[in-house]
Amino acid sequence: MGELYSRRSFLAGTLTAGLLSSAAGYVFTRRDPVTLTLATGAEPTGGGRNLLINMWNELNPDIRIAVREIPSSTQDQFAKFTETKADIYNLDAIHIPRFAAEKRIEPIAPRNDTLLLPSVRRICQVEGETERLWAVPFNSDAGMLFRRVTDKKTADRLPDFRAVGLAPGFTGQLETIGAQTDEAFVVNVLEQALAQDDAILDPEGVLSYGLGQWKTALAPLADALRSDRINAQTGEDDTIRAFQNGNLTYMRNWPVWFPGVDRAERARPDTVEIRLSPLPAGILGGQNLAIDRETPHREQAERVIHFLTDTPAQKLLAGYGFAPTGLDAYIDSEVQRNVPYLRVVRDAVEDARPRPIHPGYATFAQRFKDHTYAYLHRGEELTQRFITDIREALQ
Amino acid sequence: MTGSGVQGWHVTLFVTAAITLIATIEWLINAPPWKRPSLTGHGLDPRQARGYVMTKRLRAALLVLLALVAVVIVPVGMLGPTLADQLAGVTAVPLGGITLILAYLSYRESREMSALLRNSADRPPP
Repeated sequence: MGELYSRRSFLAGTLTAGLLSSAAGYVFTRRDPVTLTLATGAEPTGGGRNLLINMWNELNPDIRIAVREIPSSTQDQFAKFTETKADIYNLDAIHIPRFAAEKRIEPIAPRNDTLLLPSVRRICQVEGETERLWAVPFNSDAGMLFRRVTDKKTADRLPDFRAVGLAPGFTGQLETIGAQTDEAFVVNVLEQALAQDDAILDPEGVLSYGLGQWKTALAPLADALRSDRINAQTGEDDTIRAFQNGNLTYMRNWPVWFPGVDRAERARPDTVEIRLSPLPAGILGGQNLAIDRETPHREQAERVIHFLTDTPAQKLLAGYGFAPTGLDAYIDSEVQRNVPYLRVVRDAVEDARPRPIHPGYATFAQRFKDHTYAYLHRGEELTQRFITDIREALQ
Repeated sequence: MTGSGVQGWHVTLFVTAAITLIATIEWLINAPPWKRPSLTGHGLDPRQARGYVMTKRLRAALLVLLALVAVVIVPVGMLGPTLADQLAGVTAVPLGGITLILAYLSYRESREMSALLRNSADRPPP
């Protein structure tokens, strides 16, 4: 009897095995394609981050990243980002506490946690917490001093920012014309104050509330600005233009701009090289990736963030001028060969100070800018009102 | 993890379809079901035949269930976002069809054998 139906038995067996294994495969291994929206500011370096995102999209057709660029300032980044439906936010360090306080993001564990530089790790936490990170550092940043070297034969001593930052030939973001350039102004003023008084902002981002201390720390800068000794510009782009067009010797800027500035300057016959050096204490910057609390794709978002922030990504971004976030990228011999100034950047990042880590940072920055701008540019005295206002914003 | 969107469950479905197609063609050429020998000439032992009828019925029922799996795969595949999903949906149509035909053949045989058993029981012994 068996022989009569052997073909049918074979067919039945094939169909049983095939259809059941397909059904089981569908149930247990099926991946529904997902598109994650990444809300971010503008890309300043001409492609480093976009390259990483394109790589991810090519390798993971089931989890695609759609980048949504949202121009914003310190004052409106929270509002603009949160009114956009996104799965991942690329946040400036100063916004993490507010996003965490308003429960818009969730804690996340980085893949290379133990290798993160302590200063970089700290700005992804919120006040009073030492364990959880609310975002994973994407790239770091610290204010640095660019200097033009016109003759390699003469000794190039490391400049003292306290002197050159207040002397002719220096340019920095010490002017502002609106919300888009206010933050750069605040950062530059904090760095100038730190150059005069190291205790005015501590490594935890805690500000001094001593009026006399602030007056003393800002007086040299006020004098340099009011006497037009230094070149005050609005924002990073204008500062670079002033540095290049005015053939200035020193510029305060972020290291992420170094490759572009260096490339342009090397084409000029009167410039031999642009070099970087750390400030006495720069302000810590950088972008960080956080997961929206309400995303239905948390697992996928976490995978994306780990890819974009892990060591290979850090090494790639370093080539585009971004300051790495972890030790492994800084000590990699290949990265060191490609980015000869890496050691200086690491020193700058490690010694940099965070801005106050507080949900009220935007209010603080607005008040700080209003008072110090009036003092530095219009000669209005700093009063106790200044201290009261900034303290109130950070309470 | 490829650009075509092919996933594991697609592969097993496509392989099943290929094997089934080849086996069906071979079956239709060499031993088409409409030319199968009559069951009456095989001198069935009634006790064996009763068990055989049960097996046939069970097999028909299981094949119907299997066909339902294929029926579910058709819309799921067709609605999928990738070309591989849609191909899987199309592939599941003939698979479901063949499964139903097999189920029908098993059912028909079980009926025929039941009828045969009834006839042999009604006939007086020689």
